[in-house]
Amino acid sequence: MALLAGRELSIRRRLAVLILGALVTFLIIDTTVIYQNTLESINIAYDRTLLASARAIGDTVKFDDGKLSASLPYATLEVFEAVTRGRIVYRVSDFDGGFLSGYQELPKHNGVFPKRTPYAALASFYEDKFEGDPVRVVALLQPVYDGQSYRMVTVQVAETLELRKSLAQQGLISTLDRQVIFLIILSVLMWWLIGRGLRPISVLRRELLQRDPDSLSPLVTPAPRELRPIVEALNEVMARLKGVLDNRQRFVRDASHQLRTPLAVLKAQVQNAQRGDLPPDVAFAQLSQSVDRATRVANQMLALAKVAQLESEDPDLPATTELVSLARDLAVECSPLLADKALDFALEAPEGRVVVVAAHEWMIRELLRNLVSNAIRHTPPGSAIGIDIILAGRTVLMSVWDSGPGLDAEREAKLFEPFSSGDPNSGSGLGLVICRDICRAVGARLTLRNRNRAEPGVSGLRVTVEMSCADTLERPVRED
Amino acid sequence: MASMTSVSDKPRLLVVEDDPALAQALALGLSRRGFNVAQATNGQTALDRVCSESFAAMVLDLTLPELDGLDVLRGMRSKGIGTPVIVLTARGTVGDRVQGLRLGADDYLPKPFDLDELEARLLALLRRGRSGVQASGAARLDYGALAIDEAAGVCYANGEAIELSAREFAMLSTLMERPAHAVTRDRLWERVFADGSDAQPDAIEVVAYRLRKKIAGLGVELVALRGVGYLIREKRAE
Repeated sequence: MALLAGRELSIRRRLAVLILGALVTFLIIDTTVIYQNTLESINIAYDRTLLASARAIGDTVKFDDGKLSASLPYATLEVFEAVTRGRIVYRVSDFDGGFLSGYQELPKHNGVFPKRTPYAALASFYEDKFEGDPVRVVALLQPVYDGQSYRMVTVQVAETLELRKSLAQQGLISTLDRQVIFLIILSVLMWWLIGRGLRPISVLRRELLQRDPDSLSPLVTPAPRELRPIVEALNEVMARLKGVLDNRQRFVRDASHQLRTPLAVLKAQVQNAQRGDLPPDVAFAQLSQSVDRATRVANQMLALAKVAQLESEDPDLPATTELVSLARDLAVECSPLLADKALDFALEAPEGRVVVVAAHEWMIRELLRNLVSNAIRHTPPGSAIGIDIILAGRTVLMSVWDSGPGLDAEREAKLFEPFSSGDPNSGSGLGLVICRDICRAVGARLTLRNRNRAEPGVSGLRVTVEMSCADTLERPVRED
Repeated sequence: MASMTSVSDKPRLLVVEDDPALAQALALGLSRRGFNVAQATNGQTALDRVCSESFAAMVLDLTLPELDGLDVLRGMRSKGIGTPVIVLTARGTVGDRVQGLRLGADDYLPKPFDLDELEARLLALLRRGRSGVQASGAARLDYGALAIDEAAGVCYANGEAIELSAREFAMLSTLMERPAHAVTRDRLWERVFADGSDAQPDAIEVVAYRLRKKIAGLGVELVALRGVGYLIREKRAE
């Protein structure tokens, strides 16, 4: 719920910021383009005027008595100055580029003349500086007859940029004015529209908050298409939760029954012994058995609870377990039981390697302990059981085999039902449930297969745990 | 343990357990098994006593009033009291064993436990000994028809000495410290070739082979757990 109600993550704000961001970017680009277009239009318009003044000056250049002269049409220039509201200066250079007339401070044109211009003249437009002010300059080649042939003099006219600038700025300001108003109206409208669009979320939220805390029934609110997956996921989670809760209730009911039974047996056995109905050694042997049974049930129920706890605690806990030494450890731990039943035992593991899996050691130990104690229980005295650890690429197969009767079809069907052990005197019936839960928690696959399927004529069961291998380092070999 | 010993010769134990019924049962069982048992029912008393008196070993419950068992352990070890400790606990948490051993417990037994098992572990602890504590009553190991006098380095079968090499003797006595309980090959190798020999790991099999032949027919057999280690057990009449 905090996700929808919290200030730190709001879909509305996020959408608004993203859309506004895109809009502002677009408007900036648009304004820039408009401004540049305006500047260009202004330049084209005023360049014509500039060229006209250059022509007027050029027309006054004469060649008389072997001497060039230019009479200065001040009146013309004044007219231009009035039109452009700026200052106009000019310079005429002679055939060799030397100063002839006008303002010597205006830098001489030394660019190249374009081969084609939109004007019927050899003219070049460019930006330059005059007395520190930026100016727009036209340079015009004016042909003058020197008595033998036409030769070119250069006429430059420069204009300061006050008018062009102010015109462009006016254009920019009016564009910006329009854009800002546009933006404000759009923002308000958008905020309102997004809010409207997101209304189904707050409706859903309200409905969730108003639910009965114990209710795990599915949500039935009609939701828009985008929200439907969330509603479906919510319903699925609730269904799963309901399953877990039902399971737990059933487990508690079964467990209390399972715990009470050996206690009731104990009570009856004690009373029998007190009355002297049984010889003391028989009575005590029975009592001891009942205590063992109660102990096993209690331990296994705690183990189940702990698997669930570890599973929910921290699934990303970086835990690793080395299988070979764990299996050896467990064999040592179980060795009194092996000795008691005179069972042969063999641990087959890759020579000189450590086999590491990414799982909590307690889980793997509990898993293996349950499998080995099942194997010991179901195997007749004097025969054999064993643990095989086989590496197949990145997969490790750990299996526990016995020489018992194996599984028949009827037993196989009820294998993972709690408290449904085949033998009411020995098993609590929780062992395989624990194994299955652990395998699920560590992402392993558990399979039970009669050994005669792979080894014809051999009786017994092979339980295999298949998991992915985190590491298979060479074990440091003892130095000789 | 059937020998005639006076009270003062018996190893003195401090049993720390707050449940009166269990404390009583432990005291009775352990006194009958030849220990001189003193009791404490809370952590503070236990810490005071173990610091001021001398005990051969301590049996320590973890869940105690006033001062937790692990606190007692930490407290006594920080004061340099080296008395061997066996921790009893009903707790199922993963970290307990590790934490207990790290804080200086010598062994660990989960509740409910077998009194015979507790006795065996206590005897093993006493044999191993610990700085400043006199190990007592640990020189003799019996199992079935076999008896080992560790101090003398002699093994008897039905009262008659049998001839074993030093390595065979080391292997048999290691296995007899906990009969019917496997000992890993690595641990056996350390004990049997303790003289710093450069023997191959496989050499332990040769010793086992010879030992098996020598004790054949004595009612006790040497069993190999392939890939794990060895144990000895009483042969059943079939």
